[in-house]
Formats: sequence, structure tokens, C-alpha cells
Amino acid sequence: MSSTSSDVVRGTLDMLILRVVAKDPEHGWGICERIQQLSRDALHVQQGSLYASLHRMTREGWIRSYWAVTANNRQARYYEITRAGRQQLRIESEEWTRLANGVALVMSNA
Amino acid sequence: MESPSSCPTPDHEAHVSRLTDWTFRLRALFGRRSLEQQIDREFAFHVQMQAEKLEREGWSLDAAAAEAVHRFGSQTRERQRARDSWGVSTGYDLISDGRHALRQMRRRPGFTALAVATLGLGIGATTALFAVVYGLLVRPLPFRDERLSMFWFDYSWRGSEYDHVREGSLAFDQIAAFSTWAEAFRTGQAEQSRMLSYIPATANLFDALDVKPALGRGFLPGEDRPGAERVVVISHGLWQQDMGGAADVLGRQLIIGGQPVTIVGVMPPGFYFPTPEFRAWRPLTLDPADPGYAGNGWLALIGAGKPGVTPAQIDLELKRVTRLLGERFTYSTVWDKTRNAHVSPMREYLLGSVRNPLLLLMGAVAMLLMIACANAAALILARTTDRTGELAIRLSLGASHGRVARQIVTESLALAAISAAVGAIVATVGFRTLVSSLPLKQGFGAAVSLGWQAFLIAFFLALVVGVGVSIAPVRQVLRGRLDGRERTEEGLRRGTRQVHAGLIAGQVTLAVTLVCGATLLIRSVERIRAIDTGFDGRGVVTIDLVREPGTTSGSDQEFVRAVLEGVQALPGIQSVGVTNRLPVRDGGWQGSVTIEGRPDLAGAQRPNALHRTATPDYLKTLSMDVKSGRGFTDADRTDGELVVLVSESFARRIWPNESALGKRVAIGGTNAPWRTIVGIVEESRMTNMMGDIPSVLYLPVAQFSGPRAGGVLVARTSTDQAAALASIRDLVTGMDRRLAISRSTTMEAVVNNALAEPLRLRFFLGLLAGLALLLGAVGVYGVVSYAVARRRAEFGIRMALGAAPTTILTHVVSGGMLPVVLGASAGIFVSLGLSRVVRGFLFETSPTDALSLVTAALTVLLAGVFAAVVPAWRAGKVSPVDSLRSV
Repeated sequence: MSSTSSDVVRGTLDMLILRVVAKDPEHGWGICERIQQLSRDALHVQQGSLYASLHRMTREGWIRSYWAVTANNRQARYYEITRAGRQQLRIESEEWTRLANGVALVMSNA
Repeated sequence: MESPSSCPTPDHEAHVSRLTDWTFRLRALFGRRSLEQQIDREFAFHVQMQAEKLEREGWSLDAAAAEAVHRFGSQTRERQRARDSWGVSTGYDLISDGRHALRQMRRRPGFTALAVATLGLGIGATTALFAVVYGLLVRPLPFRDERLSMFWFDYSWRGSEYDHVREGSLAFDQIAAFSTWAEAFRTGQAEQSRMLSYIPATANLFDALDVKPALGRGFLPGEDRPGAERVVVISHGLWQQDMGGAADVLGRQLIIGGQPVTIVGVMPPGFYFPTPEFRAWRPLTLDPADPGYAGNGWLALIGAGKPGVTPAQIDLELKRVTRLLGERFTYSTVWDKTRNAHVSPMREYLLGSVRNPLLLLMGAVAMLLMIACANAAALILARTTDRTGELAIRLSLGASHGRVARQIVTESLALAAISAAVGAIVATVGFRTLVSSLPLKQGFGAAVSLGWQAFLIAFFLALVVGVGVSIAPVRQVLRGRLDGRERTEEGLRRGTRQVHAGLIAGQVTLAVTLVCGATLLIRSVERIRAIDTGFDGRGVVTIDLVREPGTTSGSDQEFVRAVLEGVQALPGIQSVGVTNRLPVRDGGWQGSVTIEGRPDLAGAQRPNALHRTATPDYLKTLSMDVKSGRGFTDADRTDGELVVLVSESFARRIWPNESALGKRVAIGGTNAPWRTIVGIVEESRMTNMMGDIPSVLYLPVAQFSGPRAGGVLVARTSTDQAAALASIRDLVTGMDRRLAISRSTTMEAVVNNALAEPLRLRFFLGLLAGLALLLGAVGVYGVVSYAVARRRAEFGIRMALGAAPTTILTHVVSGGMLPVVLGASAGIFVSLGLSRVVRGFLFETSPTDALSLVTAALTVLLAGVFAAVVPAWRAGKVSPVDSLRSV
């Protein structure tokens, strides 16, 4: 499977998705858009590969999905975070912070 | 999708809800179509949103749509990735393998039907037999099972003997005595009397059995002594079926043998002792003042061993018991309780007779199943080898060897699963037939059922079979032999040929063994059939009568006379008689005989004989001849001379050199009256078909006043037997409402029942042997056909070069027969090796009977030749041109 590292830092897609849906339920397209917006276009989720992540996370029980009507009156599949998902998000955020701090320390002190 | 999952946190697993995961997987597996539709809709929505966004950014409608699709990437690949993320791809592979397997089966209906039929039959038969074996031999008995032993000389202990040995045992907690009895009973005044088989027992019976009633109480100490209130404990079945499960059952009364008896307890459902036919338990009365107390023995003794008691301690205890008996009682040699003292575990005593035939059948069925498996394995191997091309293509397209092997296993398992379903049907249908055909003691048939354990076994067998039959082909795949390049190599064919030869030889070995066993039983049954029973049961019907004492229609003697007159007057009745025990069905009622003027035959030397009663026409009805002297007449009554008839063997044994006529004998206690021998009766089978012919004394019913255990009426009829039975039943029940009847049947049925065990064993083994023969032949046919098909081209060339068709035929047959001959020889050796196993089932037939062995081997060989000749003959008819073209 190809890596999406050119768009999203390797290994952080789950965390980003969880962060987005932690606020409000969102459909796949919306999640892509939100990540792009929030990162001020720094991060691009490769659109198709998003869904494999969403389905796997559903299987893990971190998010669940339901069909609903959008503002434009279209059927879309929404994803919302579960309790297990929030816990997972916390763990991954902490891990990320630790990692990012480490990188920052190396970069500033070397 | 590797990237997100490649950085799981250490406790990642802890956050995965197993349940969510598996419900998801299951939904994915079974709701696949709906999930895929959802994905498509989801993708379409995404692409559309993207296109609309692009449009807003100024793209043209068409360009936006194209760009949106492009940016999304390969939908097929994403769909596959999403699907992979469901974690069920193995499941999908299995399903697709399964579908493929089903398609393969449909393509070869002949092969499939054959394999499924043979495996299904094997699995079904094994399942049904297992259920019986489990129900009878494995499942615990409904009472204390371990440490409960039956004493030697069952149903022959006197009350006085029991009282003498019951106390002070060091090895047994309890020694209880019981017997069997049948009497007329009813639940109320207005009811018609019916027969009740029950157990009279000492008060400590339930303590010895270690069971308690579900309702009420068991027996109180002292309830087996004179003066105790008459009480009964009934079975759950009697309560439910005969009393409608009445809530106030305790304290109600049953009329048993004309006496009101109070119900004090109801046993739990499923309880029986000693066999399920007995539906009530009553305290017997041990009264030293009663002449029966020291009279004939009728009790069976059981002992509940103390915890941790060893066989050595029991032996010691038995020595103590025999010493006690020897000090107090004098025994005749044949009836000497002080010799051969031993106890048998209760289970062995009750089910020992069933165990061996069951295990024999189980072994035979297992052999059949193995034959079926060998057959299926050979067929699958042949098919796999034939599909070398297909498999090679799959391998070269990138399927792994493991994947191809898995497909073969899946196909075998699918085959086995269908066979298991067929087997379950076979087991369900065949189970009752099997149970009713086994020589089970009365009532045990109802105690076994086809439970879930049996189906678990069927499933397990299918699994084993499925994996087992795919071993050979899978081995070939894993060795890489199905690689395209090696396809034509001789090695593959030789490998297949060797495995085939081994499978055939194994099948034939088992088939010969089964056929040999069946032949032995058939010959044994012929011998049994030739036994002269000494009576002629054709056209004779029989019915048991038990009368409630103290009723209005006169004394027993008068009643018997009235019944005889009434039945004699019925249309089609030629003669009618009454006895106490029916030949070849009923045992019991035997005792020692005192011979007048023979001090050498007194005391311990007294001879033993069966006591049978007879009315004047009884012997005539069964076509038993009086060889000398006279039979009974209506003049032989209580007021006349006491008379007796003896059997030929008894007369010969006691008076070898003179006539027994006119000699006098006595039976019973010391002051018993002398009875004059007035006739010698033809020898006949009495208690069984195959044992020694016993000595018999016949007493006139009119001169006999033993304990009342009912009578058996026999009538010879020239009309339809069923109609005769019906009219007799109507007549006698009309004469006395307080008369219970049971076991109305024909004498031929009684004789057949006495032969039941060998007949049924012969039937089942014959059936299994026939199937084994058929399967063996099918196996040979299949393998030889396959070899011929593989070598068509070779034969074509040979024939083109001038080989005669007969040469080809001889070549093929001899090649195909080699494993058969090897297997048949091995089968003879196996049969000889198993001769000890079948010895116990044979009557006057040697288990190494040469004729049976040769017949079995020849039958299987002939079947093999026939099965090999058909495809070989076809090979000889092949046109060289055609066969070369088909290469």
C-alpha cells in the first residue's frame, strides 16, 4: 500500500480524523476539507485513501457512521467519534506532542 | 492502509472492543453487498462535492467532473483497500472457495453423488451408533453407579439367607435385596386393571442406590418386616401417565393385586432400577414365620461398597459371607452358593450383554467409514491430478501453493459438510430402527436418544474426514508437483498410482474383514435356525393373564377352567392351554427335586429342574409329544392322586436303566408331598435357544398352588392369528374386569425374539459387509478407470503398433488387481487376527472357519475383477486414432 506521507505526516491521519470528528460529526469529504482548512492548506489528505482509514477506524470502534441529509439536501455518510475514539485521540495527541517536542528540541539545540 | 496503523500506541489493543470488531467483521462477511453499495454511494458523494467545489473555483462542468474523478484516485483500488480494512478477506476467500467447490461438484454430479452417499452413510451410521453407545455405555446410570455390585446367583436368594448375611459387612455399607414382580393394578375402583411390573425390595434399597424420591419419601426402616403398612414408591412416568400428574399423589392409594397400597414417594424423572420397565418399588416382607422365607430363592442381592473399598477387601467379604452361609445352610451341588462367590459391577450386570454387540457394530461401522474415506480420497486425488492444468494456471497467475492447497481442503470440507448433512439425516431416520433392532433389555430403548452430542460427533467426523481425504492431493501441491513444467512428468503419475494402490489395498482389506465377519454370522445363524426347539410355534398365539385376587368370579382354578372353555369355544381355536412360564421367553421357577428312595440323590446331591405348570391341552397346543405314559387330564385335580410329568433328559439322568414311570418325586420344602411320574415329555428348549437343554418337571395347574405370578395362555388357531388374539382378549377381559392382560403376541414372534441378537447382528453386519463390498468395487472401478483414462494415448500407440485388445485388457486388469489381491490377503490375516473378537457371537461356528474366509476373499476378489474389467474392456475398444488425437 502506498504511503501518503507527502500529504499527511506519516502515522497522523487517524489522529487528525479523530480530532476533526471529535468536534462535530462529519462526512468524508468534509473531513478532507476540514483538515486542509485547519492546516491552512499545509496538509492534503489523499482523498481516496481517507476511506480505508475511516472503515478501519469504524472496525476498531473509534468512530461510527450513519447516513444523514446534508445542508444541500444530499445523502451523505457521517462519522462521529465514540468514547473509545476520544480515549484513542487523547493517547495519540500525547504521543504526538511528545514526538513533536522531541523533534523541536533536536532541531533547536543541535 | 499501512500508514495510520503503523504507529499504534503500546496499549492500542486495549482500546479495541473485541465485540465491535467481531460484529463488524460478521456484518462485513454476511452483509457484503450492502456495505459495498454504501461505499459506492460514499465515493460518488465525495466526487460530486469535489466537482462542485472545482466548478465554484471556475472549472467548466465537464472538466470539473473529470478532475474530481482523477483527484480521487482509483476507485477500484480504494474500494479494495476499504474492503481489506474490514479484516475479512480470508472469509471472502473461503466463501469464494466454497462457491468454487460447489460449482465443481455440480460439474461432476456422478462423482459428487458417489462421494456424498458413501461418506454420508458412513457418518450417519457412526453417529447413530455413537448415540446408542453413549446412551447405554457412557452416560451415568440414574443411581449410584460406582461401587454398586450385584451378588452372584441373581434372583435365587432366600429371605433367610439374606437376613443371615446382611449385617456386619466390612466392605459394604448396605446390602439390599430385591426381586421382580408383576401384578394387576388400578388407580381406582372403576378402573380396568392393568399389568404393573414392580420391584419388591428391602427397606434399604434407596440407601444402597443412593437416590432420593423427587416427592415424598423412600422406605422407612422396618417397612420390610411383618405388620408394616403397605406403601409404594412410584416412577415419574407412572405418576404422569397413569395418574395425570395429580398434585395430591402422595397419600393416594393404588390397588395392587387387589390390595390398597399407599403412595409415599415419586421418583425423579429418568430414574429407573434395575431396568426402565419397572415402574414402582415396594418393600417386600421378610417374615420368618412365612414358609416362603426359607423356601425357594427369588431375591437378587446388591451391595453398595464402602468408599475406597478394594477388590481384595471385597474378596475377603465374600469369603466371610460364604462361610456364614456354609455354617447355616445345606446346598445341593448345582445350587451351592458357597462356591464361585463373586460380585459384578452393576453396569456390567445390566448392560454387559449389550456392550459387546454394540462395540462389534461400532468397529464394523468404523471400518465402513474408513472404506468410504479411502474411496473419497482416491476420487479427490484422481480429480486433483486431472485438474493439474487448471491448478498450474492458477499457480502461474500468482496464487500461492498454500492458497491452492487451501482450495483443495475447502473442496474436501464442502464435500464432507454435505455428507455430514446427509449423515445427520441418515442418523435421524436410522436411529429408532437401530435402537429397536438392538438386543436391548426391555425399556432401555426409550432411555437412549439422539442428542446434540451425536450431531457434534457427526460434525467432528466430517471435519476429520474432510481434512483426511485432502491429505494426499495437498501433499502433491505442496511439493510443487503441480508446477506447469512438471505436468507431464512420470513422477506425478507414479505418485498418484502408488497412493491409489495403497488406498485400494486398504479398502479391500477392510472389505474382506467385514464380509468375512458377516459370512461367519450367516453360517452361525443357519446353525441356530436348525435348532430343534421341541415345540411347534406356528399358528400359536399367546397372552399373559394376571388376575387380581379376591374378585367375584370364583377361585383361580375355576377361573382358569372357565377361560379354557370360553377360548376353546371361539371360532378357529383348535386347542388351548395355560402354563406359568412360556418356553424360550420366561426364565425362573426352578428348584431342587427330592427323589423317593434315592439317598444318593439327597441333600447336596439333589437334582435341579425347572417347574412348569400345564393344563391338560397345554402340551398338545405346542405340539409337544408325551413320549411314554400319559399327559394330564381333567381328572388330575387336588382331590386325585398328585401327578407330575418329567422331561426325557431328567428321566434319563435319574433312571438311566429303568423307566421313570411310576416313580415319585417331591418339590419344595421338607414336608412336600410325593408326586407320581405319569408321563415322559419330549425334550424342548425352555429358557433360551442356545444354552443347555434343562431338565423340566410339569405339574398340573389344578394341583399347584405356588405363589401367584400370573399365567400364560397359549392357543393354536387355524384362522388369522391377530383376529384370534383380539377375540381372546375381548373374551377374557369381558369375563373379569379385574384381569390384567399383557404381551399378547404370536409364538413365532416369541421364538424370533429369542433369536433376536444373532439375527440382528447378522442383519447389520450383512448390511455393512454388502456396503463395504459395493464401496470396494466402486473404489477399484474408479481407480482403474482413472488409470485407463490417463494411459489412453499409451494404449493407442501400443495398439497401433499391433498389440491385441486382449493384451491391453489383461495388462490393465492385472495392474488394477495387484492391490486388490494384496488387500484380500491382508484381509484374511486381519480376519484371523480378529477371530477372538467374533468368537463370542458365533454358535457352533469356528471363527477361523476356512469356508467363510475363502468365501469372503473370493467375493471381494470377484467384485474387484468385475470392477477392473469394465474400464479395461473399454480401454481395449479405444480406437488408436481417437486416443492419439486426444493427447
